[in-house]
Amino acid sequence: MLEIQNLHATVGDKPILKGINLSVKGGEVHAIMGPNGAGKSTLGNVLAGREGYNVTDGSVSYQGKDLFELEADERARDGLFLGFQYPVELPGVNGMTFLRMATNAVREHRGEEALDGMDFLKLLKGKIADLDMDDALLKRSVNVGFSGGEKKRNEIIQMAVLDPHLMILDETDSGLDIDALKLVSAGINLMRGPEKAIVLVTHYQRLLDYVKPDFVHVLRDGQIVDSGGPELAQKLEKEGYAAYGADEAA
Amino acid sequence: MADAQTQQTVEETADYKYGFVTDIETEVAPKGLNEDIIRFISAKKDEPEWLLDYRLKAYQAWLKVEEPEWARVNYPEVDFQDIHYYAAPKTDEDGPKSLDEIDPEILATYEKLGIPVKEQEVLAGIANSPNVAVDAVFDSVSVATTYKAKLEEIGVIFCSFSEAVIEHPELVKKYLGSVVPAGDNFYATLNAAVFSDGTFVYIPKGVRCPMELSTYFRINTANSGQFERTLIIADEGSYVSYLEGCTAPMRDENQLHAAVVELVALDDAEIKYSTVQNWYPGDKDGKGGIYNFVTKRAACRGKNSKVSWTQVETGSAVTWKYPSCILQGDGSVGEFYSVAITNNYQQADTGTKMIHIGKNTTSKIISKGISAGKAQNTYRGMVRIQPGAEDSRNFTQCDSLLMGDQCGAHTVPYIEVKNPSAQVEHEATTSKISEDQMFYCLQRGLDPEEAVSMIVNGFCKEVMQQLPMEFAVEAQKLLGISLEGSVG
Amino acid sequence: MNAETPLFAEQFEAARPALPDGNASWRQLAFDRFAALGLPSQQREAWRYTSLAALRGELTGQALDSAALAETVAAQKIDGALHLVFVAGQFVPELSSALEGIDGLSIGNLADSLDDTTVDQIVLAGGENPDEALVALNGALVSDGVVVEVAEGASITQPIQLIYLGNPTGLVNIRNIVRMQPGSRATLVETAQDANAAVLNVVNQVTVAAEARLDHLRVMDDGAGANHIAQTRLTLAEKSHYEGFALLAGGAIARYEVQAVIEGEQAHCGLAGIGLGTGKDVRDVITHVDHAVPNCTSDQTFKNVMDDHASSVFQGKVTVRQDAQHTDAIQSNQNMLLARTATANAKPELVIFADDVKCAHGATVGELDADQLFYLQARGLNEQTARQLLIEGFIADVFEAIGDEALRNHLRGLASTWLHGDGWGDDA
Repeated sequence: MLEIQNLHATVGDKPILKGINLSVKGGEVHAIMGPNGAGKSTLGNVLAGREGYNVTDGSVSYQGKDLFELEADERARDGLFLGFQYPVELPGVNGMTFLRMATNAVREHRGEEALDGMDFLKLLKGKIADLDMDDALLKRSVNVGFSGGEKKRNEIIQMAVLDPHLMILDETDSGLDIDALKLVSAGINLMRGPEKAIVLVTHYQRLLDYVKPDFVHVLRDGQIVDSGGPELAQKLEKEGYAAYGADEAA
Repeated sequence: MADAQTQQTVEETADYKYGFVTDIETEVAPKGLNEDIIRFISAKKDEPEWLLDYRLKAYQAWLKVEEPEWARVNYPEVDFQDIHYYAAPKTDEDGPKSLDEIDPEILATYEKLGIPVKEQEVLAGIANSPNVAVDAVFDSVSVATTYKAKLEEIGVIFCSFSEAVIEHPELVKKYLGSVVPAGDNFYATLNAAVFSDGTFVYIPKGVRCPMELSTYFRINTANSGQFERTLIIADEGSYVSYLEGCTAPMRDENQLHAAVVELVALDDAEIKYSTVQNWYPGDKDGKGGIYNFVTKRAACRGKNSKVSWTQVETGSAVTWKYPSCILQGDGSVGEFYSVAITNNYQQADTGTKMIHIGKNTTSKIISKGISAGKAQNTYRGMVRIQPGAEDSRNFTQCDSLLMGDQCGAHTVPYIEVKNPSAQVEHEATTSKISEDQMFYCLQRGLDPEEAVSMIVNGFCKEVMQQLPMEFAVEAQKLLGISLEGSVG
Repeated sequence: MNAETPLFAEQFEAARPALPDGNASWRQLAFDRFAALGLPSQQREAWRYTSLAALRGELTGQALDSAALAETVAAQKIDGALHLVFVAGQFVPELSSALEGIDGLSIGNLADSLDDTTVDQIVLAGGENPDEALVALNGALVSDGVVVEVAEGASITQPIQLIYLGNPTGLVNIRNIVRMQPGSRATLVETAQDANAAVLNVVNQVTVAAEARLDHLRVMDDGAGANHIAQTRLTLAEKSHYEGFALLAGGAIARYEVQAVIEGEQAHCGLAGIGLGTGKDVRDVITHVDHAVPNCTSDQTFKNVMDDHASSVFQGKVTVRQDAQHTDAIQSNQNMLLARTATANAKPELVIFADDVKCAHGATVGELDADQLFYLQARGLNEQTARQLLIEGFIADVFEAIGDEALRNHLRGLASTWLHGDGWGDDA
């Protein structure tokens, strides 16, 4: 589903990604781990098409298409979902309304009919029940006054409702306590499927206890320096990233 | 000793000078402003002597006053002699012949707002279209009559100002000019001399007006909205919600709109006045466009009276208005909710004045200004607490949103407090739509325009919530449309 | 031009001979500017709440008792500071500290330092704008002041204190020129206590070069009936820092006006002040911080406590020009009224042309909280003490803007003295 070849990218003038190669197929769960500054968030932002992130070399194909030909919102409507590390607040924008608009934008793109208020509510209730959460968060303005855990839960609800194909979750586990982590992980696991691919970007190993990855990659100084199965994650937990070279000046 | 030819010339000239007065059937007064024109207007409307006097006094005063310059707006000088003060000639020869001749931007807006083609023709002033206010076209005279009849049953008077002068002169005489005196400011003075028509509303004691009164239902002549004069009186314990305006951009040859709106609320009465204004704002290069100079003021005379102003201003090339409340009665409440959007070359200098005179008076001001393009948007407000205004409260929140770096957003609040028991709180912020917010919306599948519209609506939510339902939906659409071209 | 001009012209001609460079053309230029503008009336926005009636009468000088002076001055000197004493607008070396021999500091009184550079600077400051007529008048009639230059990289730890003593019927014009060279640091304190000038018209021209920092404090605690108008014109260069603090506690009218232009990136302008008034006092603060370049910050915090028929004014303006992206500007004005007859006026103004900025302001007006008062009284404090305690609490955090702890305590002490003084604080 996702083919990244020799991807180089800068943030402003600073080179961060220095030749990433990664292949993600439908049905797979990949974990990308690495120390801070390695470029983990950058990868997510580049793939999602955030401004200020410039691709200087390499290519990415998504579902057979050149990803960089598409604008950020077009990629989203094509089923690419980025779970933010720090979801931003949208004052005055009602969560339910926002999600319905986004859902309908995706549906329209897929040639499906837009959902009216009632039908959307039905869809929402179903998804939320599966997630074992409630819709209280959606009654508020998007992310306004939300705790870290609430923001991550909100991301998961959005993900469930939007039903994307490729999910890139950027440090979705940061700042969560055990209960929240379990809830969020359950939500992620529900999204698994033969047509779905999940990329978990994380610093810590514990998320991977709950969402077992098929592949684990180590991102160091803008490159993938090691790849393996789930046992690689265990090794990193014990030994850290020292084996991959000294920290470069930030 | 004059010869025959000279005498003839003199006679002819004399005839011309008075010609239009004798021939009252003509609909048109020539351009310019002088006493004769005023007499003409007054005679045309069959006004009583006292009202003609009122106009003439105002005119005399207007001659002595100077146009104000302190607002943060620039516009080419208005030639007051180059205006028709009575029923501008909208002959079919002058107007456009079909919608094809209308600015495609305007047509696109009509489409977006879901306005049927026939209605579009009326709004755009196409030749041979009916010369009446919008909705009445499709809901003919009979509907309007049924509506009026229903109101008459409960004693509510809702008619044109001109009609009120004739049918209810005691009321008009009692309240006209009592809130905005003729000498109040340059444009109010002009209006007092040449006002064309407007709305008159009287709600009797204890009556809660069962429906929202809207100018849609008022039959009037198009183009008489230029110097509109509105007077609304809510007697003790009554309630009325009044809507004015139209979301569709109204094209008008008349550039200058100087309306005066006076509201009077007696004991325990409440008036809710909502405006959605989208007068033609001028083209992308700032040419043309309406100057909207309005004086709106409410006198909360009675104990526990309440007046709430809600406005969504998206049109006009230049907007200058400060809907205000004089909180005289003890316990009275004044509210001002405003969204003002300026794009391209528009300029807005708008805000409110809350004057606290009585005890335990409260005022709340929520102002949201959005600037885009090369526009300038200024909030100018005054909160004054007089010495006797014991235990008064004011809360003001003015927020400005800037879209792009070619425009300006300015805040000029005046806070004058002469009573220590008063509590006054004022907060203002200026910011832009952050890139993070935009990207978040894009990443969820919304396209850039949808994203901006959503965020802007969120920004304005507190104000939009105040609008009556039928306006709210259209106004939301309008926000999105007004900001077109400002994204990216 | 207005009716006062002939009166001032007379006074100008009469005063000239005694002024340094009295007959110079630059003084005439300044006076002509003033004459063209006339005194600003209350129709002018910037003078809306403050009347210059005091200046419309005749203002002549009067000799002062030198023995009493020495004592007064001694009481006002701040320990450890470098003192420059100005009596009736003239520098008095005998009452002042020695000015030589301080590394990195070049300091002298204005009258003896009127070189071309200084004169040019004086001439350039203000004069086209009708609100600045007093700056022009100052240019015409200035008798003395200080010219301070802190050398590049020099850090002057000793505060420099200017002590102003006037005479009860006179018009005193002081002009100070302060040049902070790159990387320098200094603290300047101007004090007018029981100053007793009928009108004390001070103009400060301050330039803060790259990476320099000036802490500039001002005590405006003039005697009853006095009028003190202090105007500062300030420019900030890259990475520079200006912290201004003013205590407006005396005189019939105390007016503190600052116009700052931030010309270099990553600079910071902080303005703070406290206004205390009773009787018919006017405490007028008018500021304008102009962000001309990106990435700078400014912070304005002013609190006022007005009793009796006193009135406070805060007209604070922040301008953010089109290119000044990433500006972070805050203004806060809090006012406490202690009597039905007191007034607070606030107009915090934002003029913004750049979009990627954070600008906010807040203004509040209120009175002593009844619950808090009761709490203190329930703990045994009498009403007056309770009120004083709450008011001191209200203004306490503004003093945090003063970097030097000794100076902070000194000024806190002055405010405290005012608050515990006669006839103040009693419920009318």
